[in-house]
Amino acid sequence: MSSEKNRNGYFYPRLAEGCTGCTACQLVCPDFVFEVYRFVSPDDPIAGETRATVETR
Amino acid sequence: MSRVLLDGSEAMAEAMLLAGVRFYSGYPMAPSTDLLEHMADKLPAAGGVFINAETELSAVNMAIGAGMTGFRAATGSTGQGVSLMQEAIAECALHETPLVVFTIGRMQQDYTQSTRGGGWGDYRTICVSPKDVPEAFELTQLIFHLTDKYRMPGILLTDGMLARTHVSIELKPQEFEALPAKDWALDGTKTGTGKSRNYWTWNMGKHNNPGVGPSVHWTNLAQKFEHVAATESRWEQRFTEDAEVLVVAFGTAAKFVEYVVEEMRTEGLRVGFFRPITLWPFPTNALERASAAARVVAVFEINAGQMLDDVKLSVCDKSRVRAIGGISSDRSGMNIGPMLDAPVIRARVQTLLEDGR
Amino acid sequence: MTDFIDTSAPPDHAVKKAAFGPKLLLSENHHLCAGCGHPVAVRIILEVLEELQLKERTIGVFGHGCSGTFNTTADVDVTIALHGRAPACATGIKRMRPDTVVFTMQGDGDMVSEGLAEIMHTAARGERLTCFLLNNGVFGDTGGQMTATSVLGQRTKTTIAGRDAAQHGYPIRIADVLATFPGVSFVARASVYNAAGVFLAKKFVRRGLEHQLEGRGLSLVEILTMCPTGWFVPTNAGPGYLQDTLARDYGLGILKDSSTG
Repeated sequence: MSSEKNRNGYFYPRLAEGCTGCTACQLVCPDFVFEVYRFVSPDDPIAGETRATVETR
Repeated sequence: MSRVLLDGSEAMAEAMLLAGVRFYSGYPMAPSTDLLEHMADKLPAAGGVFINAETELSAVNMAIGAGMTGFRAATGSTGQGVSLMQEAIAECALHETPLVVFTIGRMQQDYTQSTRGGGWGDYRTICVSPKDVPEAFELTQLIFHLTDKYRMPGILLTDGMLARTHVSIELKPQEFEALPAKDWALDGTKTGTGKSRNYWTWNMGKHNNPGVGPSVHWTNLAQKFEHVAATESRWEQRFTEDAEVLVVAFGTAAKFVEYVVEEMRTEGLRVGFFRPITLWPFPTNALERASAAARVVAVFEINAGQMLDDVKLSVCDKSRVRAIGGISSDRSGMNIGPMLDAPVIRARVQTLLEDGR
Repeated sequence: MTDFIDTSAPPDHAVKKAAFGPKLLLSENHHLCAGCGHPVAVRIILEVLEELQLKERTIGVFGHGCSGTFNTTADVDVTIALHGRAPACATGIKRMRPDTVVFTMQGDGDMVSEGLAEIMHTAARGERLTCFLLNNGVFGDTGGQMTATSVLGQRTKTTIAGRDAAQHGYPIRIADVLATFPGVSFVARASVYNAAGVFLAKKFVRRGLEHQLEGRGLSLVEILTMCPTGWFVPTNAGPGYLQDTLARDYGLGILKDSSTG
């Protein structure tokens, strides 16, 4: 979670490395703050591996 | 058209079928049970739905659910059972759902409940009260028309005596003005379209299409009820122009009063008769006019004075108003007692006439 | 020091796996407490309605309470019945429009306290409805008083020392009771305190609605939700509290499924 509050007055989640896009965050969040995307990382040497990112507001 | 011998309960059931009722739910309680049983028998055969509900409370809520979807629905009980329905009746007035409630009382002690109601809010309920079985057959059809027209609840108030009296009547459908289609009905077809309905008493609408909100909605409703009050009252009056004693009565008691007044008139006695047919809206202005010349305005009802309140509100100089009815039941407490008798009524009216001499 | 990823926008060619909110929700701004579990349950229900393609043929009958506040944001033809009476109201609606999908969504105070008679008789009649019970063991909307489902030991505004059987009686396990009714075809209890729970809840919600589509009897899906405010716990302690109290006492899983024989 962030250490500062956003403009709505809330602490908000921060995304660290290692997200697999399992969508567990989106499943449990009652405030609908997560949108989950998957993509193939161009940096990754192993073809086909996916990364994920989380968009929060 | 041939005549059929029916009691009041069966006549009202037949009238409901003619009115196109598709849903009836109720709970047994004398003397409304006969109506419940007739509907159990007749309504499914006519393609409708009948539910013997677990309580009066759920019966009325089921009927409201049915009415919300755009079909004619009704419930019924006796006054003690309609007590349980008060919250729901008020609620359906506030979310503008047509509903008809048959209150079949044991005596005439359900007037205040039927006209004031014990539910919450600034709401009104149309109330009609027939004097005999043929009129019950007609008013049943009328009240379904009025409740649909104004999207509000209505009560048909009668009593066990009418419900159990057999009269031969013609099962003639009444004709009414055409009403618009119920495009307000909750039918599920708007779900997921962005135009879904929020069908509730606070008129909040949806996030993307807000309603007017409770304050404006309830104010609009109050204005609607005032309009109904100004335009839909009905009454019957006879011999009022020169009546010295005007007797006011409703329902079954009115039929007895009418008989007594007619008999006394043939003897040259100056008595008159006024019968509200709609108990709400009470024919206030009509009664004021009809009673203008009377020395005494007598109210005959089988209770401790319920319509009395409305009569006092209607007449100028209410010091002229006299209550000549009273509570009267048999030992069981379930049936009208010995006060509802022509000689008894006649004696009370006679006393008022003689007081003036 | 952890490096955080910039989440202001997804990268190119990313594929969306999960959306912020369900399509059938007109606004994600609910006004319920932080940590409330109700929005998760509501999201599940709305997602399943969408997935089962039940648009334009669904009517919701909400109860009174925090869950009822979704009446303005759920893109569903909805009414709010009187407190506890949703199953009766829904009965009238379904009988008149049997081709629609009719569901109730009620809190525990609404269904099990005020509306116990209605849900039991509706279940006894086997009405083809799906009833969703959002159970957090309190009357949340009125500040957190005890309901018929509050568990023993639970502190509420009216049982401040903890629910004590001698004084306050025992909780009613409505799902277990209704599972014994022949007119009830599906009963399941789920919770939303963790992702696995949410995943399972969604399966049960789907099965419950399918029972209605298949013309079976009444289906009841109970979803245990968090109410940190009503439980006097901090927001982030809600899921743990749910796991240790209501979920533990009531137990999760399918209690009855007449379609599996």
